[in-house]
Amino acid sequence: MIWIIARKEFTETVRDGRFLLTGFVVFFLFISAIGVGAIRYTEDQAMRQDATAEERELWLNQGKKGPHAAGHYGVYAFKPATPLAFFDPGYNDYTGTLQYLEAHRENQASFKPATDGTALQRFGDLSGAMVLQLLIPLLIFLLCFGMVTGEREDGTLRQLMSIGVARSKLIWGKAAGAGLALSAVVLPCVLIGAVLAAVFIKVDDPHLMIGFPTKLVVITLVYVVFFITLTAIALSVSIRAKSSAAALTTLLAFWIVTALLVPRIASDLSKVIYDLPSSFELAEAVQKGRAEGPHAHSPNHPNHKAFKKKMLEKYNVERVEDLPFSFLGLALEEDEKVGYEVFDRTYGHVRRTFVKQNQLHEIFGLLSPFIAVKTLSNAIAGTDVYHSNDFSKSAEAYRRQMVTILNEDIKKKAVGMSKYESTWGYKANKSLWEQIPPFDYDPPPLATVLGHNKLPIFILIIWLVGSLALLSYSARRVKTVNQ
Amino acid sequence: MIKKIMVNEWRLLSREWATYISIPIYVLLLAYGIASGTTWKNFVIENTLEARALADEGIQKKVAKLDRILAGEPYSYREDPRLAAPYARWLGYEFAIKPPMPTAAISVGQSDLAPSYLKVQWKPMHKQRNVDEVENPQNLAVGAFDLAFVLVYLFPLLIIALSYNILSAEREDGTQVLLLSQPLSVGKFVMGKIALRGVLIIGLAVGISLVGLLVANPDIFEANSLWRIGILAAILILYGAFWFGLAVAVNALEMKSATNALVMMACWLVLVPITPAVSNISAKSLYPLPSRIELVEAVRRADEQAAKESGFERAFYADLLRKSEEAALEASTVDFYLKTLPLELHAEEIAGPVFDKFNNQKRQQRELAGNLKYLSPAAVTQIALGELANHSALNFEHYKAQVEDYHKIWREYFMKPVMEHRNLTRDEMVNVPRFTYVPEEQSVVLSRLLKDALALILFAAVTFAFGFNRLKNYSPAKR
Amino acid sequence: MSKSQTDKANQSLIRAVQLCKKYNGQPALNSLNLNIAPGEIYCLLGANGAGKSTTINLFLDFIKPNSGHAFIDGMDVQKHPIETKKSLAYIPEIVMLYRNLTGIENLRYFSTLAGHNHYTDEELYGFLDHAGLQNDASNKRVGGYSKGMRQKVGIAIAIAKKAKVLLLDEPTSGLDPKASNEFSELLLSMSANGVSILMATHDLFRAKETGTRVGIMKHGNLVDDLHTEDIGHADLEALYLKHMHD
Repeated sequence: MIWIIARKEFTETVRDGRFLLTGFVVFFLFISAIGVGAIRYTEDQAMRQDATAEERELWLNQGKKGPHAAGHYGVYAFKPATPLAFFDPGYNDYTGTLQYLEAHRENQASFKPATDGTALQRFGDLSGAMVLQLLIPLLIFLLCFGMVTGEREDGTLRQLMSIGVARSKLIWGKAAGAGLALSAVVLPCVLIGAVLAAVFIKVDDPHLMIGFPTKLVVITLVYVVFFITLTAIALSVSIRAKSSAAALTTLLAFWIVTALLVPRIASDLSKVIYDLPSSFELAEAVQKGRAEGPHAHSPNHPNHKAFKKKMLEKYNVERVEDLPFSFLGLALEEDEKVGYEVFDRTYGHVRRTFVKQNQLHEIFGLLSPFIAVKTLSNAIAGTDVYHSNDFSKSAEAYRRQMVTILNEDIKKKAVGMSKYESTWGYKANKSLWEQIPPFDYDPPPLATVLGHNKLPIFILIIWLVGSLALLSYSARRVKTVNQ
Repeated sequence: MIKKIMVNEWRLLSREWATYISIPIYVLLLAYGIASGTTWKNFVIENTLEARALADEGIQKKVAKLDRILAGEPYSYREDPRLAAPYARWLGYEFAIKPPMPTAAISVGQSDLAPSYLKVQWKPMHKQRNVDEVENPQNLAVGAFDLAFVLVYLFPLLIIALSYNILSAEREDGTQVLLLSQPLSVGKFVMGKIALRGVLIIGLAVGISLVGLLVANPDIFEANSLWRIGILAAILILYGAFWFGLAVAVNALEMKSATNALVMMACWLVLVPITPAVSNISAKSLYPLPSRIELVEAVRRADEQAAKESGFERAFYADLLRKSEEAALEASTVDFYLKTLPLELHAEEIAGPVFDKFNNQKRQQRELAGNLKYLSPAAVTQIALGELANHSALNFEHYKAQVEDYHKIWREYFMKPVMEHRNLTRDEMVNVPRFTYVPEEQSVVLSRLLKDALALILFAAVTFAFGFNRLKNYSPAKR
Repeated sequence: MSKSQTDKANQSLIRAVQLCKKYNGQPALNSLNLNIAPGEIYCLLGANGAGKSTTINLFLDFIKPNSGHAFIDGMDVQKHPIETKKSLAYIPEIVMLYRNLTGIENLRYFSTLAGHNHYTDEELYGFLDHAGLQNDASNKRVGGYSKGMRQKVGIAIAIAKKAKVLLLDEPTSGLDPKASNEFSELLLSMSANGVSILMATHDLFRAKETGTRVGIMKHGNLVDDLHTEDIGHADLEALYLKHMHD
């Protein structure tokens, strides 16, 4: 019985010019977005790989110089683009693409592509995810708003009931029919999109492809759950509304509020509740913290003198040249140690605030399934704030490893040298540069990502269960006529 | 006659419960948008002032240090503030600030992405680190809930909600036969209904925006910015008129109310979020920007090449060291800067073509996007509002160009003493050139805004002309 | 056309000349010629789809004729759509009003649109009273009105318009016999004042009672046109049924 109803709904929908036209527009937008996204991703990724390789070449062939000078020469770390970014670029335009790793300071990832964007940047880019997150829901609403109200208005509902069709069977049949019609649009999108992606995308780094098929399955599941939820909501509204027009208005209002307003309000509120320091306050805090350090480069600074005294006392010698380790190496190491603590505190605070802000944003997912699905989609695609933070943290860890190796070398090799001599006289060569491994960032595995996204997963499940419960409750109370 | 219709429409609207929900929410959203824009403006003002103060303090501190040295305080070589190269490179700095205009609260625009204060030192501007405002990427991407958002996105939605069925509802409710048996044309009747809604919705938008902005930002009166507020009103009227025109056009097609709602929502979707997003990605795909990554690598390569060409290596004076560490440090530092400053300039020359290409592509991309915006009245309005707030992409380009010019002045100012093997004089330290932001010429901004206004007039005129033209053949008893 | 006929045509307030209307090629009205003089009540009889409503819609300029002309008070309705509407009042089969306005507010609005913005409240209540609507109902919102009550407001709107021509499309369907009778009285008093009335109706009895002339329509043709004084009740019914069976 359900199957017969589903087939009838499907046939009716496919014969409706409005649905076909809208479906075609959605299909066209999705395919173009995927095509452009795939090409852009491939170019982006190739460039990042080339640049990373070139950085390594430059680093290894920087010639003879003091290890600390090499620390100042530094390395650029480039955030790799995760493969699913072709579908969901997420916040990639708003996170820094590269991070300069050098002695003394933790630089933040810089050069957000959006800064170089056009005047239209704030309207966003068309992406496959945007089509699935914003347009397909409207297609679902268009599909379902009149499914019950329409039959009631045309009087066919009365007829169906008189034949003895069970209310809930009728509704589940309609839901299945809507699912079929939607699949008629979405499946070609996904299939042709996949072919396009397979043709255009070339990923040379096998690390990036780890868990890719699983990610595809999970992200598909997320969208399927999302679409089922919206279909259930739309049908429930159609059952309860007085007229088709009222059902449509309700659903459009739902879309406007949950897809457009709630995310902005959530983001605004999260900014107010979890205040971020201004870049000035941040710079001041960093500077103040680092001023506590030994000022390795300023011999007249009181801290420098005090540190020198401490070291001389510790090793019980008169002159820095008599220390068992190079004093410059010790001072630089101490300076970095103070820095680590300061950076972990200041930038760590910023990153933790981001996390808190995003968590609050996610809680608003209870008001808007759009938030939950966007969060999960970004997370699985590897284009969310968590990934960008993870990249920054691992780049900083690499920097610390790098400066430690360099300072250790000074400590050991520049023993017995004065400050000037150890700075400018001692020179290391390629064998030291080679001791520092190349920077290779791998995005976190899917399990970790999902572990960080329990909240939106939970919220999406609430939406699914809630909407299905609403539908089955409403289905039993279908009214054949308006009172 | 139109006045009578308006009065009656007002009576009808005043008896709909939906009016009592939608209008207060709309007013609230407008007020919230203004408040949020004003808060942001004050935040930027605070930051730019702080930046400027920091730069002032830096200059004064170094002069004070010099005065102490001149008065006999002992100092090591590296502590001498008169050393031109260290001053130019890392000791000294200027903050080139772009203080927000009094009207900045209209739109956050690009101002949360593009910095409003830039640290200027010797190093090329693109090498300056950590210049961005600290902001959660997610919040940046979601966008601000400012007045521009309320006006560009939500204002049309309210117009749609209140006017999608102006004629179709009269037909469906059966009131139109009696109406049109009265001596008035459909056009006049529709005009009356639209006029009331227009006065109400556009009036509220303009009224609250203007009053709210002026109350929250009294500095608008003081500065020469009232004209911007006037243009804001004009843009809002035109943008609103376009959406009302669309409502007339859609109603003139004699479809059902539900279909009208769908068609108007589809128009909103296509014109507000989709067309600009498609235009944006088209501009990016047609003139792809070489990534910043490429630029960074080009600079690295150029540095290497320049160093290799000149066989540069930092001198180490082992012999001087035997005399005194200070003397060796001084000699090698002087030598280093003498060589390295020209070397860096040379490296930039080598990397120049890559930058030229980048800037060229960027310009073309912006120009294309600037033309594509005329496909969507929403894009035109959004950009015009940004322009009024002095927060548009072009405003920031103009500011960055000024900073680049100033950067050249900074370099030349310190290059001279370095090449002359001498320290800075006290006079030179007191009179370090400062940056003053000069907003774009009023005529330039006005001419851009005029184009936007013309585009909006055209959009509105086309919809109204189409709508009222079709209404001439409107058939109240169509089968 | 004889001299007397031409004079009559010139005097007539409602006049159709070779009026034709087709829907998708199907004729709905075929070369209708009609002259209704001041004070005449012309009743159009006929089955559903015979062309009665089409005729009235053509006089209202709600639809455009394929050929021919419709005149109200000597003016071609197609050329003077607004001016002719000043001279006519219309009551549809189902009067629909603004649900959220009261009866009196509806009346005031429509009267204002008709150009009569000078009526005092007493006058307006008077019109409603005249049309048979109780005073206490006049101040209630129309949303709660029955069909008959709405019809009465429609009648009041027509009275208030003080038009020379009255176009009625089955105005009494849904009125109870008493109200229907009152309505007939009203029509008679208006016609006595020189108003021309064109009424489409199914009610043979009332057509004979009230009408001065009766026209029978079938498939878009005016198949018969006679004076009511020339025919009895039974004859009219027989004539009507005869036409319907042909």
